[in-house]
Amino acid sequence: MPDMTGGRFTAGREPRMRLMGFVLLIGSMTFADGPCSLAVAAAATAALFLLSGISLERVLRRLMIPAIPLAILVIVLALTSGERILLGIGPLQIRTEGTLFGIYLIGRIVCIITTVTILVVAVPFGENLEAMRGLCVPNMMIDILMLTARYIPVAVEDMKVLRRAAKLRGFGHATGLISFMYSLPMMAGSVLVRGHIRTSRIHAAMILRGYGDGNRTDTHERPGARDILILSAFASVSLTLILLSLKGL
Amino acid sequence: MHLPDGLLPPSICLGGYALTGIALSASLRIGAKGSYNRSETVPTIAVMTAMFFSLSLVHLPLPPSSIHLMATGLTGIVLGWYTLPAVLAGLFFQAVMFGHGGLTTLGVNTLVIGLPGLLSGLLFRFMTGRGDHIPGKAGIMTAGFVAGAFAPFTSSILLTILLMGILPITGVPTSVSGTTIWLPLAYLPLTVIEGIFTAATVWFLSRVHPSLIGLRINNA
Repeated sequence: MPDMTGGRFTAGREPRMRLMGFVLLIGSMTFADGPCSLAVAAAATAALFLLSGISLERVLRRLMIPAIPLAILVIVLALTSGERILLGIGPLQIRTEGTLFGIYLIGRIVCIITTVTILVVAVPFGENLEAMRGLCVPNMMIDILMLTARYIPVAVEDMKVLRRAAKLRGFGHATGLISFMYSLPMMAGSVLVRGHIRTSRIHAAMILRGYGDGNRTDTHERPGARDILILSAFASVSLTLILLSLKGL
Repeated sequence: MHLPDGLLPPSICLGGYALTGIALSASLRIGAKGSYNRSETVPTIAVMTAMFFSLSLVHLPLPPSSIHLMATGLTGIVLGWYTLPAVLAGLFFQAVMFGHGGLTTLGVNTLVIGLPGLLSGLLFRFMTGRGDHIPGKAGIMTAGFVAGAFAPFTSSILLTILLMGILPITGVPTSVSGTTIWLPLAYLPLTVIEGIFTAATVWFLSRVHPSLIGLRINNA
């Protein structure tokens, strides 16, 4: 499972405080819609990126996913939104308002996706889940997430094996849509039935090993002064972002 | 169908989370009133969530491009009232593992994708009836097709309404946001493919494991 291994940002920090800090920051970044608020969001993102030690390539890979539809939106906005003409290239007129809006949109998206990537990559997934449990996310939801995380690689592997088996038996050689539609429902149904039987055992084993709601114990340490300081820093940046946005800056 | 991080204004993101919270709480309560058994319910939701996730990775060739399945109709048929937690979990994994969708838009995406899935499940139950017998092949496949096609088509309509309402607020001119009215048309091929896929899958499940799709085994 990519991007869920984690490893940094964990030493000596209370998981609930860290998760709360990140959630506050990511949420407040949606407010960044002006030059000042965007600069604050960018500075906070850059600081987190440098502290996290994750590779730039990993962040860029994540940023590439929404890149094409957003690029189209930004180009359309630059050409259609606003009254003032920034630049005229032949019949095309690039408008100031649309261009600015596009820049703010891209800036905001880069900041949010980078921060989310840092949270997901630099902190172990299990630790984030336990932090969520500590922050009163329903236990059933945490158990579902935990068991799903455990079962996703199994389901993906099962699909691959069944597809290979179908090909060996002479089905699904063609790559067309009709061939896919012939074999895919049977494979999906088989994986579902197998999984239904198998996950019950996985769930029981997880509970026996001490995971899940049935074994819930409050293992979180009390937050120390350093944790509270870090949360305060996150909260201050978030508050600044919201205030700047409310003032239209 | 997934709205990415940063596109929606904060009020909509917060509203989406609030509404998802309410809908989730209600669906869990209603679901628990049925035949609730935690040691069976949680694994079933988890396996369906994993399937929902895995099927979104399967790209079907549709020249000149390819599409991926959503499987929300199938999720609704298998999980009924528990569709929303499964879709929420599935979208969460898609957001954190592959960056499809986003964490700030998770609430809105869950409503847009999950609610039609839930309605699909109810539609399938309604169409296949509550009798003590398994409906015939035609009945099951028709119900599967309708429920499977209903989910993506309704999601595309919800997304269109959302985008047409939100984009002008965020500064996008109405002439641009108005073009999203064609979105359901763009999702029409997916709607048909989802319908066929769901019909064939529920037919398979009705033969192999009917209780998984809420059908009772015919003892007569």
